[in-house]
Order: sequence, then C-alpha cells, then structure tokens
Amino acid sequence: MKIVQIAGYLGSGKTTLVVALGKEISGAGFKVAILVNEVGEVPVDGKVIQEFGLTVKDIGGGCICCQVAGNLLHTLKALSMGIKPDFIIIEPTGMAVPNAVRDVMKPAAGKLDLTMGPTIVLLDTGRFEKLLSYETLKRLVAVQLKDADVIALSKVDAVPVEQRAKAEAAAREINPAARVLGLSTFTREGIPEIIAAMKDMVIA
Amino acid sequence: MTNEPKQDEAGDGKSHPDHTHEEINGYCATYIFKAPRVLDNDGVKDFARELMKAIAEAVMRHGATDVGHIKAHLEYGGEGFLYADTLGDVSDIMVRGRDGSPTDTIKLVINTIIVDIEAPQIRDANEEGVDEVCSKLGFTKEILRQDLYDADDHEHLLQAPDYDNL
Ligand SMILES: Nc1nc2c(ncn2[C@@H]2O[C@H](COP(=O)(O)OP(=O)(O)OP(=O)(O)O)[C@@H](O)[C@H]2O)c(=O)[nH]1
Ligand SMILES: [Mg+2]
Repeated sequence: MKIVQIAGYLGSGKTTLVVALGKEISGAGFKVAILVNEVGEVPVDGKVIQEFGLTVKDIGGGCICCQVAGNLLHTLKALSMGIKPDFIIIEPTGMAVPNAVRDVMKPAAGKLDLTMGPTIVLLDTGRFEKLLSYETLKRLVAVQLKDADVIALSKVDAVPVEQRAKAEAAAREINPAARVLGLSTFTREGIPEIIAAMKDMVIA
Repeated sequence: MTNEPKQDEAGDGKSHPDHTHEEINGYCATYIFKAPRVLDNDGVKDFARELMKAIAEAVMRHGATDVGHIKAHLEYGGEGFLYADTLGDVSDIMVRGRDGSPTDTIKLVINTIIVDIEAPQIRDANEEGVDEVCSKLGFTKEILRQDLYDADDHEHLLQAPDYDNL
C-alpha cells in the first residue's frame, strides 16, 4: 500500500485532482482507496468523490494531523486488512501541515505494510500572491510548500504564462528541493508527471 | 526531503502540528430546500450559484479577510448531484455535476471555511446569505444539522496515537 498525499491550501484544487488521479490509476488496473479529511463531520468532498464511483473513506470532524490522528491509523489498518489497495491517496484539509500527517503514519509503516510515496502540494497560481500577502495565511502556505516533495502549480489553464512563472519562482524560493510542475486538472497538463511521481517516488 | 523537525514555538517541549490553523474557522450544515415550483437542472444550478454568491458576500460583510472555501454538495431529482463552490470572487463560482429529474426538493450539505472571523459569525453570515436567496427565489429551508468548527478549540494531539495496539 503506497501512500500519496495531495495537500495544499483551501480550494487549491485537491479534490478535483484526486478524482482525476483515482479514475486514471484505477483505469490502469491498480486498486485505489481515497481518504478525505474534512473540517465538517458531514462531508462534501467525500460525497463528490463517491459520485465518481471511487472508493472513499471519510475522516471528518477534525484535522488528521492533530485531532483525529487515531482515526487515520484505524482507517489505514482496516484497508490493510481488507481491500489492500495499491495506492492510498490522502487529501487532508486545506489547513493541514503535510509533514504532521506523514509523521502520524510513519511509525505505523512497518506494521501496516505502508510505503511512503510523495507529498504533492498544490499552489493555486491565481491566488498565491493574495494568500502570501495575508499575515495570517502566509506562514501556513509556506509551511505546506516546504513539506512538499512535488509542488504542483495548480489551475495553470486560468492564468497567463507570466503569472505561472511568478508562482514557480515563489515556490522554488520557499522549497528549492522540491520538483515543481504546472498542473491543470481541466486540461490534464501535469497529470502524467504526477502519476509517474506517485509510482516512482519513495520517500524515506 | 524537507523533513526538518517542527519547531517547538510554544516552548513546552511538545510538537505543535496545528499551530498554523489559528485563524481559519468553519460552519457546516445540512438542509432540505423546497422550491416554489418544479425545477429543471438549470433551475437547481441557478439556485446553487446564487447561494454561493450570497454567502461569499455575507461573510465578507461580517469582516472576513478571505473566503477560504465555500463548497456544497446538492442531491436532487433521483441521481442528480451538483458540486458548487467559490473561493470568493463572483467570477470563480463553479457549479458542476450530473443531471437529475425535475424536482422541487434539494438536499444540500455545505462547508463554509472562512479566514479571520469566528465560527458563530460564519454561521450567521451563512444563514443570512441562505435566507436572502430563499426569500428572493421563494424557497423554504429546513436545517437538518449544524456544526461549528473553531480553530481555537483545536487541541494539540490530545493523545498520541496508540501504535502498539494497531
Ligand atoms: N481553472 C481551474 N480550476 C480548477 C482546476 N482544478 C480545480 N479547479 C477549481 O477550483 C475550485 C476548488 O477545487 P477543489 O478541488 O474543490 O479544491 P480543494 O483543494 O479540494 O478544496 P478544499 O478541500 O476545500 O481545500 C473548484 O471550483 C474547482 O473546479 C483546474 O485545473 N483549473
Ligand atoms: Mg477538497
């Protein structure tokens, strides 16, 4: 069971990407389970993902990087004893700190037969400047980007190329070690690269 | 790659994974709406779009610095569903889904996650927006469930997960 985290600030395009990846990877013959952590106890994303016929487990009512960490582990355990998916795609809330989510899972990797795949963090190319200009948000957005193995500059279909270049420069400044790629789930730009990263990257 | 240890900013020797949540709060609700007449798919989409716009405007009136994300799942007319959302700009209201049969009844779940106002205010703003649209379009609303999410209530890892008993 390989864990891939799709993180990033609120509304950056995570669920839209998760649905596309789920469809594509299961279409290629892999078993995929999607774990969605939402702020609310009654999920919106979980319902949307389910509408596309994908296997989804909701972990609601708190943040998996802190409040409901135990629920995450129990869900992973149930998967390991049940359908044993090839890939488990995790969408945390837009407020989650990706490495905190990873830190919850890592100690259980041996027991639950988990391979830690990449953390893919989305940065909305249309909104990043606004977000980084808010005192209250810039730290969160920067922390999320710092935790990325792959930074996906999202919604590139909706911005001019100069805007995309600015987003890329900001992302590289915050995290010079990450792979950076342009993503439009609408046009499929970047999807093959993300799928390749999911398959190839193993994070120690 | 960038797995540096987290800083112990509170100085109490514990890690604080959620220290960045502070200013983001939320309100989640489940409703049944009744329309004054039977609606086709476009009618349901228009309703969803109006709701997103009215709620986004209301939270800004209540002092939010940013709409984090307002998103809703609508079920209607048998197999019909919509995902409606906005990040705050009228131009980015998105409504997509699968067509259902004509209906006057819509079940809707909303998550309204907003920056820099408290959860009770998000609830008030959300309901203000909902009521505005209902009275404009002649809908009635029934609230089935409401929950508030306040970042201040976040406890830092109340209990470490029990790895031994996995
Ligand atoms: N133009 C454009 N818009 C996109 C793209 N991907 C997602 N969006 C839109 O961005 C908005 C937010 O998308 P979601 O997938 O719900 O974002 P999210 O990150 O899951 O949101 P939260 O779970 O609330 O944090 C929706 O209106 C999507 O339709 C894209 O590739 N291009
Ligand atoms: Mg989502």
